[in-house]
Amino acid sequence: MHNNTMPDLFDRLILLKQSPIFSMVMTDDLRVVAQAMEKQQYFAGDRIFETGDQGDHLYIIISGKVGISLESKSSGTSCLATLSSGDCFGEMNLLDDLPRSATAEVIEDTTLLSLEKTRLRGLIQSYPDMSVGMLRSLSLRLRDANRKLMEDNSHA
Amino acid sequence: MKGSIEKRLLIHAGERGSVLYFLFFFMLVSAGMAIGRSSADALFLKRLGIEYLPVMYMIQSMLLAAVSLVYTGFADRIPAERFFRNLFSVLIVLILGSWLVIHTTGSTLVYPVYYLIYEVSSELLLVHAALYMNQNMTTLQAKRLAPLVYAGAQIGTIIGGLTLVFAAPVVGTQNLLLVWCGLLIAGSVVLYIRHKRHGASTHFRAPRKTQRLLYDCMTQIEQGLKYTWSSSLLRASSLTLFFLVIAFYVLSYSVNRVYTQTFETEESLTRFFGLLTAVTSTVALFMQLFVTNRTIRHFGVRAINLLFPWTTLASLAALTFSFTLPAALAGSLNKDALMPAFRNPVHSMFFNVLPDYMQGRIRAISVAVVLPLALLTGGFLLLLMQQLDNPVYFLLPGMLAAVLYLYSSKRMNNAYVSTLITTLKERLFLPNKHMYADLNGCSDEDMEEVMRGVTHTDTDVSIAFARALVESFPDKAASIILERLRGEDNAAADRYLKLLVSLDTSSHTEALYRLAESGDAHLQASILRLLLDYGDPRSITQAIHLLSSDNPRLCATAIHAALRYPDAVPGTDDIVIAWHTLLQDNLSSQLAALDLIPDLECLPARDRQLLEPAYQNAFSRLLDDSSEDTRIRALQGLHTWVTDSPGNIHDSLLHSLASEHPGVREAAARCLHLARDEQRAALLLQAIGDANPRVRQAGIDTLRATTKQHEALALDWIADNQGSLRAQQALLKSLLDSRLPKTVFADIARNKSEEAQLLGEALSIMDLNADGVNCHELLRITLKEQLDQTIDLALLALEPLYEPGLIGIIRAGFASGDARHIANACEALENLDKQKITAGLSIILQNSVNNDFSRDESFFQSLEDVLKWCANHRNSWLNLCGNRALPPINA
Repeated sequence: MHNNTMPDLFDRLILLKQSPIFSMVMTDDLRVVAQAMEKQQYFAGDRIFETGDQGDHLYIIISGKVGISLESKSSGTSCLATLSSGDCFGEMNLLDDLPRSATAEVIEDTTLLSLEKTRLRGLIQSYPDMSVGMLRSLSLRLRDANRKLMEDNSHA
Repeated sequence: MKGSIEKRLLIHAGERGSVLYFLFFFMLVSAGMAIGRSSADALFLKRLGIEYLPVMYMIQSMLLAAVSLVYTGFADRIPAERFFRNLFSVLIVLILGSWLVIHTTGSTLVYPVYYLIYEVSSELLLVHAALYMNQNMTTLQAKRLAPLVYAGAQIGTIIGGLTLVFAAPVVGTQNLLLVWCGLLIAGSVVLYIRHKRHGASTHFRAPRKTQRLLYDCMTQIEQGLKYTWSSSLLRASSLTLFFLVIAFYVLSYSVNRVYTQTFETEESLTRFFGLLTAVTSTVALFMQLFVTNRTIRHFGVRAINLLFPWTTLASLAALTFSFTLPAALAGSLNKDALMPAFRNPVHSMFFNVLPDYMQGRIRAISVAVVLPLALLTGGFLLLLMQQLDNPVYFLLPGMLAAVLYLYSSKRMNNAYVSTLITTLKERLFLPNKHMYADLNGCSDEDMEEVMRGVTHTDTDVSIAFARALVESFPDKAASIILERLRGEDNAAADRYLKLLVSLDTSSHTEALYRLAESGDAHLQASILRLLLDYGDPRSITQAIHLLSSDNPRLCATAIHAALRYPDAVPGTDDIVIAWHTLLQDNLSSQLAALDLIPDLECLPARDRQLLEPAYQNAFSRLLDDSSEDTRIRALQGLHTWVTDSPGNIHDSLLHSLASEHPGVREAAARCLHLARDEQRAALLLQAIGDANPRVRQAGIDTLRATTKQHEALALDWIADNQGSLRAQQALLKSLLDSRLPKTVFADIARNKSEEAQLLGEALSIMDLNADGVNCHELLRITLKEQLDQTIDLALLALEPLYEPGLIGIIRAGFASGDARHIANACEALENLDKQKITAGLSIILQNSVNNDFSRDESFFQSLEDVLKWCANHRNSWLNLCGNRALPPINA
């Protein structure tokens, strides 16, 4: 017999491990993050945030589809990317204080998990080992970007 | 079937395509080289004569130096595949030109030219092939796959040799040049297609571009020479190459002399060369496939590095005693079978440990400087000695060179591990020792640096530097800190004042009084307390007058002064009444009373009995307060409490250790001596495994303070796998500076290696049974994390067994996540002393990187076994994940 809340925690952990910013954080440490996340429901056509908004949340999609575009008045068809279950967005705003660089609009009814910036910062202060994992994740991402850049250059 | 073959050939998932490509490419190139070599040798020896061979060696040495200069300029500046394309194009033109000259003019000059084309290009191809492999493989990959790829080259050589056997009598030796050309064109096409699809070599890093080619060539040679001079591995390796070349060419000359005498016609000699090439290459192939890799794994790189020097010495000795065909055949077998089977792969691995940015230059130094010098020396020796009829005269210098080759190979072995460690350290940018040095007693410049930190505008930064200043320059710290806290608000000033407690502030009393006058009651109390503890007489008088103060901190300071200096206040009744009032009053009064706990010892038992229950009540109330700061103060007070603890302390400790506030957790960890006996161990392990280092340290401190045999207890916990792996790591770190015997740490390393093997096997089974179910996926991720942590724990346990910092570098290499650094870390570990412990761990490390722990007798038979094992594991998180992944009993 399993605790009723456990499946949810486990699913959240998997979603967090799939997100680029938490991929290198130990699952044991991620439990506090998973517990700090809130479930949110959006409907098709809703704007989660717009370019220029002050970003203060990270989002992970549980179900549904979200379009990302650079223009503030985007429509579902002119999206730069369409994100679906397991995808993460808005994560860079957790670390910098810059305004949103893109607009996120709901394409299909969507359930999200969100994490507030101040909440995450509090958790990092309290559990600094977690930030080491986050730095490793970001470093891997940077290496990956550098590698792609080099590959592009060599092809050119 | 495919999987079984790949497993036998040590090809891992995702490598099949690359291995096939390298096999095919090297096969084409080698087939061409075999044809080029036999045709060049046969044409030269029969149409010109072996007596010119030493001169050719000397010319070859100078030509190699010149060509290598150009090679140095290009070697590590362009991707290795582009250099191959350029080299092939030049070769095709030169070979076609030679063929035309042979057919149209009949000039004998073309044979030495063609001979030199082959010799120089073969050297360049050999050197460049290794660079090409390094730009596309890590050390571990090279170690596994190099023998296989070289085997591809051997198949090519066999095909080339057999082509010669059948084609030479039919088309004539001189027309074989066209076959070589055809194979070079095919090689170019394969190379082009491969890199069109997969991009440039993975590990190629382009340096800055420049137009000054010749200048750059010279600079690179100079840099390579400087590097060679500074690296013990390269010095030894250059000497090794020098003596190897002399021994090798003496052997080559000797066997060729026997063959030229034995086979009379050009065609028969070409056919013999073809057959010999096919046979020696088949032997080499057999060894590369079934012997090389296994012997390297079994005996280690360093032992195999000595094999070829010994066999070369033996071959030369055999020819000295009997200058006949059988001894010559043994010599050919040595240089054409054992050299590619053992010497070349090992040599490639030795080079792989050098920094990437120097590898091309160093290889160029080998070809541009060492090899030509050695060849010139060898050629000169042979030229002199061949005039004497007895072959012993040129075989003896060859044997001497072989002995020196053996000696320098031994020196090369010694330098191998230290170079691995140094390279790893450079690549990981680990700070030098001086960066770890204690600041105490450091130079004025260092002190200025710390002072600059103290004056930083950010209070937290400033206080961190101030703490360093107090520890490193206690005689100068007080004045600098007092200067810095001027103008700060009361709360910040109070934080700075806490740093002054351990310092001599006698010459700063006036400054402190001035500061007290401008501060609030809280700051005044802090300053008075500081001065009281230092015994300043004025502060005693001032403090005593504050006994009736409305401010609880000032009142508490007065009580402290009265008890510490009893001559100043006769009797204790008023003091106890004031103290009791503080404890019964509001929250801030109770908090102020916490500072007085150490003063309880100054009271008679009667008064203590009155105050202790009041303290119990105050603790209960403060621990239940919603404010985290209040709870921290209460827990800090409890840390110094020596009599009965309040009734709610156990629940409070449990609650506080789970708090999100790190200060609460830290304070709770310091109070774990008050926990119930049956709960203490679990709570200590929880604190020692906390994700905050301050809490971990508090847990360790409490363990030391509360347990007499704390080292033995920590060892038991680690051995029994109790607590999280982070807790075990903190415990192990706390033991590293102890005087425990080294065997204890070796046992831990062994124990954790075995645990890592089990975790790895469990992980392999989870990988094989991946079904996308979330709880299985989470268990798989957790197993991988625990595997990495357990390996790190095993490595940490090795630290006291080796020189300081060495294992730390290997751990950093492993933790970097970079395949090349991990490969070098494994290689370094495998070659350390005390190999019984490290060899097993190195294999686990490699398996972890390759994600392959499968073995014939696995501990687990099925996925269910793994799930059950995890569900019963002592590690609480793995246990939880395992239980979640187990199917429900009634399902």
